[in-house]
Amino acid sequence: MKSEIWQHLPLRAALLLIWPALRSEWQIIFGVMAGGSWQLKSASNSALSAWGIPLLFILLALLAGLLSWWRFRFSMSDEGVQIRQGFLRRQEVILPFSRILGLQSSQSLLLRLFGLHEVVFESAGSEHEQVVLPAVSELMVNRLRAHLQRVAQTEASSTQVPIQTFQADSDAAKPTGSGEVAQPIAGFEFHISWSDLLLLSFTSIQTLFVGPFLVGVFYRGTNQSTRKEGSMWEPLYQFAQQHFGVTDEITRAIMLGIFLFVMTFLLALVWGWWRYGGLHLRQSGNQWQQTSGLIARYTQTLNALRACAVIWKQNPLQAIFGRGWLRVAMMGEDSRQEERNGQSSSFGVPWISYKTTLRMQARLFEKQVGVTKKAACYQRVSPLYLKQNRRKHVLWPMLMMLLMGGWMLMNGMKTGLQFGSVVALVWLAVSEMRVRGHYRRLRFAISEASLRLQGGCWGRTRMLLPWSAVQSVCLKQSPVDRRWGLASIEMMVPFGKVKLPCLPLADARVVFDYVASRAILPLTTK
Amino acid sequence: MLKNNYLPFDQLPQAEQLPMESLPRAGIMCDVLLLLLFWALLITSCIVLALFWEVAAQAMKFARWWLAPVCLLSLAWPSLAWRFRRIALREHDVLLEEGVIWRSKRAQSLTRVQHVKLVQGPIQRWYGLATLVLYTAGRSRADFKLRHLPHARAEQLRDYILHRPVAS
Repeated sequence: MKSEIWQHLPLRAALLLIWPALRSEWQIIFGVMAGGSWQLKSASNSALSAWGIPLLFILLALLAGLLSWWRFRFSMSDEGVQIRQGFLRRQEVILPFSRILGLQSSQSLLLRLFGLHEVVFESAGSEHEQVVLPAVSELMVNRLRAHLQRVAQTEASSTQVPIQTFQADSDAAKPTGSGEVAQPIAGFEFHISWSDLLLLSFTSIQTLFVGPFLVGVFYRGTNQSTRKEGSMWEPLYQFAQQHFGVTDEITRAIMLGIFLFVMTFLLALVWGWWRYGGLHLRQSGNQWQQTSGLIARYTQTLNALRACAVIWKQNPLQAIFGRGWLRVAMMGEDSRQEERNGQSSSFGVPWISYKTTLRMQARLFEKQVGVTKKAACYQRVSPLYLKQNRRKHVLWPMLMMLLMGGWMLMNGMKTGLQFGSVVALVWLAVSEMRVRGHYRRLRFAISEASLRLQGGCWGRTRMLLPWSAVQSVCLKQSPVDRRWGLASIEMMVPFGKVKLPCLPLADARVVFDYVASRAILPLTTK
Repeated sequence: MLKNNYLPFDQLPQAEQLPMESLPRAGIMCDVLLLLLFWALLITSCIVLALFWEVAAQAMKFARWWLAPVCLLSLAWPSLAWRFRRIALREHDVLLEEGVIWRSKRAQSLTRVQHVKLVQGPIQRWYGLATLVLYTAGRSRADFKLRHLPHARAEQLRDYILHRPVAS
């Protein structure tokens, strides 16, 4: 990018750049401080040796801030944003306009004191590396915003692609964008049934936690030793004794059961209706909307163009009823925002069958993954997966446990040894079952446009990943892999990593080349 | 409408043998100097600590026996790592092979690059090298780092990535 009109930050921003400069050039600062301390400690002047070190640090910090301000410059051209910074470790960042999603300006208390703003250019780029102007004036923020709008308008007017707008179902056949007629497509609709809502409420993890808590409370309330006259449990206790004429212990057991059942049922029902009552999922063009909750209303919207994978998970409890949890991973999912709010920003349906999921993903990725009538030919990973994982999860822990057992035996800790042996045996058996389970379920199918992956141990996971979501692909080999002629494939995707472990090396090379050739396709074909 | 048939392994095209290029040898010196700087900083800070704190002085007496071999071994590492670090540029992606014990080969599609950063430390400037970082929409560790490229070549590559025609 050829751009020579460089802008500097206001001079007062130098004070705000002190901390970033100290952080990025800490090695040099540390070295100078260490050398300075050495010299100042042996100084004959007592005032110099006492105040010298803090003074040296303040001077260094001011110098670092000033140098950092001097080296920081940025430019905005019609091609993108360019930033140069760093006095020892120089950096140059270029963010093309086509990749900018938005401009966000914020003002912390410190920035407000100086009358400055922080500007973040939002892009789908890795979340750890934002393109930021740390301290610019309000005038500059407005100029940047105006420039961005002007470039966006110029690009929009020059492009021939019609802009899709949100449409209600009834308007699907009306003209959209610049003169093109949208194909009338039947929108996808999904309603949760009453029976499904009941089952969802009962099998939710919150409900399962309520049970043991209530057992504890009820046991304490009705136990002979802790029973108190006039307690809240007393009427129930008397009622059961008078009408059923049973002894104390049996009354307690029966009432415990009835009470638990009724309370869990009621709580689950209230929670389920509160959160997921009337769950309704509807597609309208590229927009998908989910509304749920009978008392509080929750609404989630998904732009199909941002969807990059469909993941369907089923725990053993859900498997009994043939339902699972569906999640649609999206491009640019903001995990930092998730951490801040404690809420997931991804689009999910908590109780849905796999058949409905297939229908939904066919709609979602209709043009990206295409249509196939053939059943997926799933392939398994190498049987050496069992050996490798058994070594990692069973044999090494077993060795450690044997060593610990020997140590306990030598120190005469017999009770601990007995208890530890039982725990170790159960743990090793569970680990072995997990390894076998994972191997049994782990399969993948490669097609021209997508990867299908199955996995899980106690539960089941199924994933559809269009190649357009793959950012980069990596073939990895550990020393053990090399010895056994194996390799793993790792695909970096917007929601994390997808791994195909323990493939024979020749197959892994073929898969690597194939994925690399598919990952160069444009992000979306819609 | 796009057809989408499943592909068994034997129907996939054969793996390609690519001519991979080694990076400039100056990168070894760069890494060695960085390591020397690291050890110098560590040893200086240990000495400063030992001046103020008796426990640190005792620890230093114990550590001096194994610090020298570890330091020497670590200085030999960049030369070994350089042998396994190779790069290849294709029309639509960059390939990078690296790793001495855990080996990896990574392909970064140029279509997926969101923004580009060119970094040059003082030692790299001395040797005329630079690090090119390609950022994608992937989560953490999804960034593609090409270390110790010749500076002019890194700039060429950056311009190619930013101005290349889009794959269709």
